Amino acid sequence: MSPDNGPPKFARAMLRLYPKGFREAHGDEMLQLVVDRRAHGGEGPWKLWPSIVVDTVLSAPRMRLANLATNHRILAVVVALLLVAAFIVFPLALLPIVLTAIVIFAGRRKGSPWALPADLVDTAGRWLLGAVLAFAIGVTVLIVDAEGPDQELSEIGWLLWFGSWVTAFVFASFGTILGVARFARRVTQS
Amino acid sequence: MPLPPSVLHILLALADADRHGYAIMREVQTLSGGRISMGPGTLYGSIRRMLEQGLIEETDARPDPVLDDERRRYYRLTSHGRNVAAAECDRLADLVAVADARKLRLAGGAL
Repeated sequence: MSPDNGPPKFARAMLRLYPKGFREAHGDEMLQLVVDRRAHGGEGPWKLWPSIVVDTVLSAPRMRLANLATNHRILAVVVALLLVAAFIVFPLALLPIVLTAIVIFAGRRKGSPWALPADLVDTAGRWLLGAVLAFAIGVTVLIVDAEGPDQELSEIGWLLWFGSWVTAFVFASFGTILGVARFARRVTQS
Repeated sequence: MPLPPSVLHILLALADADRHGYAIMREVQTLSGGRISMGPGTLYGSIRRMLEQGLIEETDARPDPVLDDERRRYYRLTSHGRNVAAAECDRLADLVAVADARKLRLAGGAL
């Protein structure tokens, strides 16, 4: 296969969103499928790439969640329970968003229940993902929820809401700076 | 049972020939009249599960010389996969028979 008709960088980048084990087993075939579709499918780029992006957005998270549920059962159960509880307590789903960021950053510890799947750890992509996630989540929460909860809360409820809001702020700032810095360092080292 | 539509279509695509991923995708499009178009993630996610469940298996044969490349892997139906596909088709045929009896189908039988 010549470089001209090989899989484009964009396809390789999308592939990285899938779990490592899946990539190793089927990554080359998936890239070949993209090459085939470009060469023989008669699809223009305006049709091909949006369909691949949509397919990746729908299938990659599902595989990662399935991976998590299989290999990190305790983490998956804890996160699921906390997400359900948080959705009940906070209409804006603020806490689960913060928890997602915590999982991204706390998941480095191998062997702990919070450990992320191995393919997410020690990669530049993990830090970039964490930075983008923390920034987007934090800013969204700060903008949407800046005027306070839209219902009367007890003191404890208000403290929880305020604590989550502050946590989101911290993650938005700290997560972005740390994530981008680590990403830059790993990219320059590699 | 019932099988996900993507799994059933892949089983049907492999019923008459061994195929690689792109050929499976094209065959599924043809079989579904263009209504089902599988992207790489959906296709290989289904293939992975089907391999684990023993519905299909890899084959070393290279039956498509036109589109041959070492990256391509060919898949074929196992006997278990063929039985599962047949059972699912029987189930669907029974459902269609019920639909016919209750006059639930459109004229011409197509949506």
